[in-house]
Amino acid sequence: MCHYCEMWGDGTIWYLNPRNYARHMYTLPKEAKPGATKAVGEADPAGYINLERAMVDALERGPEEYEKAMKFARDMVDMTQGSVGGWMGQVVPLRDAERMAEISNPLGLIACICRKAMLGIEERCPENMTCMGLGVGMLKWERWPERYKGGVHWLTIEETKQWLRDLDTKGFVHSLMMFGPRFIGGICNCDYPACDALTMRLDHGFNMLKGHHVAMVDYDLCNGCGICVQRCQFGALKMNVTLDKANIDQMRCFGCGLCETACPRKAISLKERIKIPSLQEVW
Amino acid sequence: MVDKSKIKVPKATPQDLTRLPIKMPKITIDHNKCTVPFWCKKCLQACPQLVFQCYCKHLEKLRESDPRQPGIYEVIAVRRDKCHVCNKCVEMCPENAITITLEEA
Repeated sequence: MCHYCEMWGDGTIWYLNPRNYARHMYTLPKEAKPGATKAVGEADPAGYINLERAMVDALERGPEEYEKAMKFARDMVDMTQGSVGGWMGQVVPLRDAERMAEISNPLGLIACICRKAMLGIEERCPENMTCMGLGVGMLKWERWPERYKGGVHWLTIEETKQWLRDLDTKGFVHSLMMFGPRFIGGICNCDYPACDALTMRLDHGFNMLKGHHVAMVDYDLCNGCGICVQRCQFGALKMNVTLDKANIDQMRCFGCGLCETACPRKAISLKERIKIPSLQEVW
Repeated sequence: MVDKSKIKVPKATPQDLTRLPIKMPKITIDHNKCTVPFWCKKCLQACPQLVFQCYCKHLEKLRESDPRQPGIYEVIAVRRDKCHVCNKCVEMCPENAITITLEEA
């Protein structure tokens, strides 16, 4: 069972509950320690990069040091983002991302800060406008123009859905971002290793939860065209050469649904994670 | 406010802890030589493993930064465990600011 759905779901999937987009959720963390200089949700790539560097440095020093660094990193993410256990995001499939766009308001696109830091892509590049902001957090661009450099591209619901579909066609993984406890403030569209959040999850195991779905292949429909294989960012989807079919490792699947949207024969479908006994605790 | 002590959170550790500590190359960047990394960013583009990250050091309220101004941005080697010492960044760096040393096992 998803703990966020238990706490914040009110009977539905937690990120489809409109209460989690409400203005009053967007609050400053009360228990912020004296060392913290940034308010909640104020994007600080320097902090993230230094956390990641500290964890990589700890790999050199041994397992105890690494665990210590990981605990520190989780606490830091909790403190600055108001998350729980270092999980501040979750992978969502395209159809859920589209439903999230219907719930939240206002909607806008800004430049991706991870890709800027990792690849040096400047804010004014149109292909870098992939960071989708949901809700009132987008209105603080005036206070932090550095984060919103390149401008905010405001969108209607239909335009947002079209952007999401276009980004999905390109092959970006959608994931929601929490800014403060139970305030969903954005949809990140990114890939490994350009995305800091996905990189943290796949290399160090925190920051991004797996989605509420897992992909399954229908072997009767799959003809082994291999279109889906190149779209998996998580190493879950491989070509089964013996059978000439796509093969998904469900333990590795994050449920992003990129393979589902790419399949020309509708052979891949998304199943609910909580209905599969061995996977319902794999997040 | 949510009582965080009552919340069960999942744990995931993709790193194999029995394998630690691991050896990785030491990458040093001379920040006196490398002053405008985001304006140059040749190391970011050259690295096949995306080891480097470049960030705005002076994040200021109500102000945008200028990447051409020295000392505003800083490039650091973050994902050193991925570096396989191809030395492309060392060759590309116009200021010769990067050095990579790999200790012999």
